Amino acid sequence: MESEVPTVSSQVESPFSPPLLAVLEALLRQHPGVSAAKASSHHPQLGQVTVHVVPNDEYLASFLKGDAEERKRLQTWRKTFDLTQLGKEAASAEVGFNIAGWNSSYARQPIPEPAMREWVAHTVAEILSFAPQEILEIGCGTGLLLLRIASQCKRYTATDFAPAVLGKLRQQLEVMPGSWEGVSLLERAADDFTGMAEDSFDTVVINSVLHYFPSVSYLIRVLEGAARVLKPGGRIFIGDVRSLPLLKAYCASVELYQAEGDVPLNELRERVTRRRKLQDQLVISPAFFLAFGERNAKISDVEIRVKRGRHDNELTRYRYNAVLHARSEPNNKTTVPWMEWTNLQHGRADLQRVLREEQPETLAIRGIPNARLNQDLFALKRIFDPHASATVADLQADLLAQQPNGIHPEFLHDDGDLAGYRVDLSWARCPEDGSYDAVFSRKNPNHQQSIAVDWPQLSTAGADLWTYVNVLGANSLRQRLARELETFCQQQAPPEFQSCSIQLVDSLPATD
Amino acid sequence: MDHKIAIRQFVRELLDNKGDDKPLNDDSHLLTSGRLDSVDAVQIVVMLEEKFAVDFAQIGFDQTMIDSIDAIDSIVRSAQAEETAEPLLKHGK
Repeated sequence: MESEVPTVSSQVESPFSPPLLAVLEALLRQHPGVSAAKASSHHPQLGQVTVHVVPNDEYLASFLKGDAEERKRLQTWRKTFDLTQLGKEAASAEVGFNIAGWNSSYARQPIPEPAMREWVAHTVAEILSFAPQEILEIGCGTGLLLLRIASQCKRYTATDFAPAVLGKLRQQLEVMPGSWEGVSLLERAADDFTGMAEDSFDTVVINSVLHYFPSVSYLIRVLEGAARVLKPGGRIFIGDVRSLPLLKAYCASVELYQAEGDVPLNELRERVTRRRKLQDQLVISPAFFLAFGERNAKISDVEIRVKRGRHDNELTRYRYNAVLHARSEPNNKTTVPWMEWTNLQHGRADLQRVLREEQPETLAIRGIPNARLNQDLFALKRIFDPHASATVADLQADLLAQQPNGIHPEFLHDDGDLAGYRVDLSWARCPEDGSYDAVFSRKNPNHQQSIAVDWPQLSTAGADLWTYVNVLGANSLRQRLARELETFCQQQAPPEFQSCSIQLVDSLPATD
Repeated sequence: MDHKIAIRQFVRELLDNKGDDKPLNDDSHLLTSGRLDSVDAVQIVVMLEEKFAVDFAQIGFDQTMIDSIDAIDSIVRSAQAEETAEPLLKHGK
């Protein structure tokens, strides 16, 4: 490899002539962690060469693949959850409703109890709609779901890796009325399926857990294990997944909330970018599940569901549920004629009229603007406008003057309920504006569950699964790569460049 | 080394890793201000358990307990006071 590097001629007079800098760039481009490199010298002294490097994301993610790194991350999270159970909040929690540790990223305060009650109620209703009898719950926590579902099932096996959390759940099972004979609790990591037979559960629940997984390979391992123990005809319910297409809008909304009024928007923009890079949790595109479903023989189809809930918070705005079905008749998808939301001239009034008067068997509408995200998307656009010269206070004033826009998903559920329709809402197109698609299907007492619909979805053909997940804690990984590249230069570059400085950037600076 | 210096250094490193180069005073809020997050809190807890034998299972845990260098320092002081008091009690038996 070394012999392929162009050698530096000692005859070159200026140590920083463009050809010489090109040598350094060529050397760095041979490193697998480098996608692009541009060397520049603004000072004629030796050692003042800066190389801007665009890192290779796949290489950054490879830092996470090591077992030691995975273990370290898991231990940190386990400790985090155990600590939540040592505080006053957990000690005074109502039996059956221990929400210690559920904090808002905005206010850094506990998410208000009514919002959490609604969140639990919708999640429980969604799972019970499958009429499950044999459930495996991975990451059961303090039992917010288990304590509401298990007594209606034959068997409920629940796992969690945090001993103090499981201890709290055991205490509640002892004092709460209910038939808990079918419940077994196992202290173990999510990827441990030891002792679980193939095809042994009709429903696997993994709720609000995926973002704590330490790597994409771990995530894939868990889903493969879940699919293996799933009975044909069953489903994997994955709740509360943080959305990658909306990550930037989420980061912008949090930073805007926390910023002082006099902060200029260009500084806010930097904070948003930094927050995005510092994410220590897995943030996953719905496309990941679509692609996983296509690659796993047992999974027949995948639903990407928009969260239910009237409370407005990061859970309802920025998360979704994925349901991976292993249907017995995998090819029995209902083809529905799709119409665009923009074709409904009077919006919701038209929709209500069609449902009431025409009463179609199904009605499928795509591209419905999302009222939950209207303000955040407006703010995002302004923050990333390169000509923006305003401050946070200016932006907040503009937001107050904004006309409401879009349709709240719960309004469509109301319209459906009123006209006797089941409503399913999807994010399978993975839109960055949070717009969604809807299918209204006439309620049938014999068929409560969602029908397999050919939802419009992002094509995932040929793409690697890791491209649909953020790079965890990218900031520390980037620092690690920068150090690695500096060592690489010390060992391989001509003496003039051995102390060059590496700056990792998202794109190369424009050439002069 | 004085334990407060070690705590300062540890917290400074956590902030540096986040690209936070703002001044750090002993009474600066670390967690409630958002400068550090729950993952950092765990790093602090583990450090206190390993280096200073603080037993959170005994004393309970709340983020405010480690929200500043002064707060962390006072936990370490109590833990050390307890450690020196214990042998006396045993002796008294």
